[in-house]
Amino acid sequence: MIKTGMRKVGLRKHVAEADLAVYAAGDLSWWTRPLTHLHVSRCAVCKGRAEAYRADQQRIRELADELPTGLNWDRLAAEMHANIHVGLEAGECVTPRTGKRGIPAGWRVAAAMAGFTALLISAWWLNMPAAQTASLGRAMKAIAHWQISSRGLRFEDSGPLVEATAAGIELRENGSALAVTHGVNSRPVAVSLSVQGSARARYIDSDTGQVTITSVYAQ
Amino acid sequence: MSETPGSARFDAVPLSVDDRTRFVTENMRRVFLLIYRMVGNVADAQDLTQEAFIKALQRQDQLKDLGKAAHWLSRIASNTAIDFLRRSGRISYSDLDELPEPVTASVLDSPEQLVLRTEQREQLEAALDSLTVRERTALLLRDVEGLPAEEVAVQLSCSKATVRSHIANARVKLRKHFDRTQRRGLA
Repeated sequence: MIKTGMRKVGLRKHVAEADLAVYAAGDLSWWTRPLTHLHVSRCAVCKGRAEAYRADQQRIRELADELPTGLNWDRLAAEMHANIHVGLEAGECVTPRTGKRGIPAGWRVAAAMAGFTALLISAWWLNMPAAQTASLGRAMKAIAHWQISSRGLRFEDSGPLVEATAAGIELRENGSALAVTHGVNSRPVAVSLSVQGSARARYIDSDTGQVTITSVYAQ
Repeated sequence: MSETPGSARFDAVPLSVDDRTRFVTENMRRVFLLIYRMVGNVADAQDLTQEAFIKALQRQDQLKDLGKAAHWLSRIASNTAIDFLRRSGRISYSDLDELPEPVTASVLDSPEQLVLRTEQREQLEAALDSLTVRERTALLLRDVEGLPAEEVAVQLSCSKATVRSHIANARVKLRKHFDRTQRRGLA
């Protein structure tokens, strides 16, 4: 540890080496600087030491700026330039690119919307009366069994069967059938089947132009 | 208007290859010598200089004030060297690099001057080697790089008073080393 402050040499006090070393470079704190400066300006010993420190500082600055003996700087600099360039290129290759990674923003929005929709449907389903829920369940099941036969569009289930044909609408169950047919001159314009088990057909009489709407509900 | 080293244009936008080359060229010798004086051998100084420049150019967006580019780079360089010295347990290697090329020297130097300068430089290197890492770093940053004590304190992550103490210790030790060498030379 280097002592600071003043030290006695004979009858006179001198500035401590550490303080003198710091003072010489102008780094001494402002409250001790004036006193030290006053002493150094009057004391030949301390003045000489302070000048030696200043000379050291200058010497270090000059020598530190010199390259080591035997070093071919041009070659070394070229090598370092090349290595820095390669290092930067390699760094760019391994650095993750922000914004290019993960799921695209459009897909994220779509996924969020799908989740929200599923939540709404679930909420709606849970709030629906039990009867309607059962009916809708049957309807959903029915959708899974839609078939297109050679005779037209029909709905097959183990329960009552409703079939719309060119001749009319038939309701069949356990081998029995109830048919609502239209006239010979009539032709079907639109036939629709609902998922809740009903069939609806519109016929137009080609002679009279009369429109007949037939609706059959199966339970 | 003259341009100080390290004051190359350094915008927040990525530098072009030419700008990078210019920035590296302007600062390479200074950074290499700073690191070399800290670690004491060419091979490590070369690796650490490259590392410091790569770090600096990869973090160029951190630089806000263009006027402080040289200090900012010195800070990265000294931190890189300090980390290295910490990792390597302050082992100081002798420079064994034997290069076949002729010695780089000014044509104005006479053989006598050249020998004297070489001796002085070797003395300085030996003197620097006798300092602790923090004393050496503080001294180089303050006396060679010319950073104010406040900036040195920031770089070494310590107080200004501690920096003053490091600098004072380093200067006194160097002075004693030079005195001894001078006495041996006269004897």
